[in-house]
Amino acid sequence: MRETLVPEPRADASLPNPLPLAGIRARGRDVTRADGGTARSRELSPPDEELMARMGTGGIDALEQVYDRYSALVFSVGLRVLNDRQLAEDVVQEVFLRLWRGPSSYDPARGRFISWLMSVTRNRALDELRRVTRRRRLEDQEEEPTLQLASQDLGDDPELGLVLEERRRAVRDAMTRLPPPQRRVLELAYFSGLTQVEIAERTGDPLGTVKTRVRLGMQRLREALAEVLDEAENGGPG
Amino acid sequence: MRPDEREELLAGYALGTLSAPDATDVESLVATDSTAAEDLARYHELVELIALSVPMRRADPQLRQRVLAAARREARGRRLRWPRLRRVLPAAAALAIAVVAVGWGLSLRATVGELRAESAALRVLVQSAAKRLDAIDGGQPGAAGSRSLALQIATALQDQQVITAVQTDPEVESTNLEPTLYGHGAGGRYLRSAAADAAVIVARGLPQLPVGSVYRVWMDDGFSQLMASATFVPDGSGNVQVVLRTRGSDQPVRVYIVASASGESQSVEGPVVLQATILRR
Repeated sequence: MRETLVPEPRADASLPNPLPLAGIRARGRDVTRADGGTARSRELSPPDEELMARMGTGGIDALEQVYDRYSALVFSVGLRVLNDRQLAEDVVQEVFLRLWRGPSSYDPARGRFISWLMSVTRNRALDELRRVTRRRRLEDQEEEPTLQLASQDLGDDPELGLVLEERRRAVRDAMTRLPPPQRRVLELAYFSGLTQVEIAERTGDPLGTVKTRVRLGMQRLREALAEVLDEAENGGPG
Repeated sequence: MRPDEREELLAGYALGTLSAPDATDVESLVATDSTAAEDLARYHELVELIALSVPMRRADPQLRQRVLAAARREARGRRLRWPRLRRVLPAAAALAIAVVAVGWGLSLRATVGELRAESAALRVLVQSAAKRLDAIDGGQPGAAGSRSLALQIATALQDQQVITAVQTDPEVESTNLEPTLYGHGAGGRYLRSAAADAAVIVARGLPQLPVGSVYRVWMDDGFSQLMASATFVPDGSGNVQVVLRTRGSDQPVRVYIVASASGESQSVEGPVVLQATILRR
């Protein structure tokens, strides 16, 4: 005797939540090449948009160039989220094969390529984290050591290009200057995919405090990175 | 809404940390407030910058070769697309049935156990198609009815070809479909064949649907887009095989089978019964 299903709208918590928000468009465009004559060899290579377009016509060389440009960054984000080299490499493979399968998924009108790529990478890594956590019953990665990892940083990545490398340094500086409690909530949200409620449970702080820290942390970060954001938005370098 | 509260919501939304009710509030806000929408877009840009704060590490150099080799394999697979059937005439349909039968025999030889049991449903479809062909030959339905029937048969035959091709592909990627609380013990698999450039869902023991409902397959492409790709009603035992007509570039990272009201649907409504995360090596 089969069970009878009683539908209830949106009852399953495993669905992506929130669903994609239509009509929200990020401004600006992605420019990872430096202008002027200060560029390294990387700056002479094609822009991301062109490479993605070439991928759409089956250009495997375009995939190679995008891979060489961003694989270390994608791997680093995956590793930061998953704290496992093998799983992080799975994320790298998945992300780049997805670019290959559907390069048109990136719409330059909706924002910079690097933002989009990082969003895809983070989503894939968090999906994997949730899957692994469910499967292995792994408990929190709260102890994930930012400073310890920072000491193992390989430093500049020449493939990223001068401008993106400078932006990376600016972001790291801005994050380091945040008060530790604010930095912590942002990292738990971004790299561990926790909700504000979950952050409150994990840290033992009241929910209101967590919300305030998210707001203040984001505002400080926005102020510290205003120049970076404006440059990108105005089509400037990086 | 206080300015601080507004900022908390926008920042939290961009970070993906809000509860569902708060997220809904933000979506309502930005739908009617262009300034809020711009602020949110800026927060989104800011959030993705956080990724740049990670220490740089390098993956195994051999990973590059693996990724590129996989990409080349997929590129070859894309070139091996199945030809579309021409307009269906009874004779052509009969020939197609013969082709399917050959493929079906290959499938049976190449598969064992559960796969063989799953494939039994195909035989029923073939027999059903043959009966319909007999009806056409006998001139029972009217002309319009014949065309409609022929189209159904053509579709069924195409599906059978695809299912056979997927199941007999030695490199088929198989992912278990896991039941949710609403699955009541249902199970299944998501089968993807790069060579056939097709995917098939094989499910069993699906709960009985309320009147006016169907099962709908939703695919998450990993780029924050959910796409409805097929609807179906299982047989009396809750078993079904569904061909997903996707393009090579639309491969999902997650698949959901959702019980929904029949008819067009632009969003996920109803409980998820089975779900799978698609990983590839």
